[in-house]
Amino acid sequence: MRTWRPAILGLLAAAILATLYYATRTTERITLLPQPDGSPSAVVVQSKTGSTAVLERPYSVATVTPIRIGSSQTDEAAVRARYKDTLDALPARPRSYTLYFRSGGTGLTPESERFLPVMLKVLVELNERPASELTLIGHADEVGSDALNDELSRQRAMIVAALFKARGIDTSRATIVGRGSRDPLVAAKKGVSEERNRRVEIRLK
Amino acid sequence: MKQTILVSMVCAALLGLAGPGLASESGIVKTLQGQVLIERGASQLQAKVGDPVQERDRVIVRSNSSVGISMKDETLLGIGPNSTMVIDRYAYDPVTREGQVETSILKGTLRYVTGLIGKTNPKAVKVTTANATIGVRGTEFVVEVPGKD
Repeated sequence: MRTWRPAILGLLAAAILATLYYATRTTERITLLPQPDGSPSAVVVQSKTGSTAVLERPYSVATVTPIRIGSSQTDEAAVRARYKDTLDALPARPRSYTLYFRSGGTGLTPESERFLPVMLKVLVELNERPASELTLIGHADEVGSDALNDELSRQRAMIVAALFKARGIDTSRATIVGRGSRDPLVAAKKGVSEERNRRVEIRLK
Repeated sequence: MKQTILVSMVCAALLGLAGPGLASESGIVKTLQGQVLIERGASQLQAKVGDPVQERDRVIVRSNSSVGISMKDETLLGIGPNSTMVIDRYAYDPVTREGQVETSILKGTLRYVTGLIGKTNPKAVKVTTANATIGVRGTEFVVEVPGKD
């Protein structure tokens, strides 16, 4: 009997090592990153076996194996070191500008008229980056019917595209969208004029 | 009204009715290091900055390489070395900002920044790994999946 003992211990050790090796080879890690503006966020991780982990603190980690979910905490420096190439590969975040319009039409407000040259300078530069994409999203306030506002918001976006084109910005691949009054910047009652909602968002990514 | 309609017609003519490029395009390659392949059906393409990506594409990133992709709804993806990612499902309506974005990371690392689809409806965003499914609530995160080869 005694002669068997080392063999059994050896087998046990091998089994433990194999399990550990398997665990490290198959452990997935999900790390919550902070939002750039510091606003709260969360991810919900659900394993194939049905257990769930919710990550709510920046740099908290869910470790997922085929049989269980664990959790741990890391920090910015460690994430940076572990995932440098992946973090750096992220495309630049979209930039966004807004032009405002006078009621009922496609004329810019005096303030936006004055802001236009400043914005154009930035846009000309950014638009020359490789594979840049320009999106113009028109909005209307709550005055008038939905059908009219859908059309008006699209016209506002097209007017901005024409303004850009006239100043040498390539708009041939620009996406032009009219969102009517479905996405107000400021909540307003139906039929109430609201300058801040009569706008075109210029998004460059 | 008449005047604005006329102006918009002139604009449309000037712009050649600019719209979103290819209908099947889900996103665009924005950054690239080293060797990255896009597998589409039976074909395999060497990716370049500016290339479109589509639903059902498999993005393969070799060693010492990485790629950054921006989806139409501003979902941003950074994929690290030795990774394979699949765009399982992508649909986006820029007017309503509704759609669906489902990706799988089969191996390697993925940095994920939720876009406008997730803002409209967090449930429409899903990231799948071998062991888990990840759902979001207005989020940025990194996923790491060990390789099998």
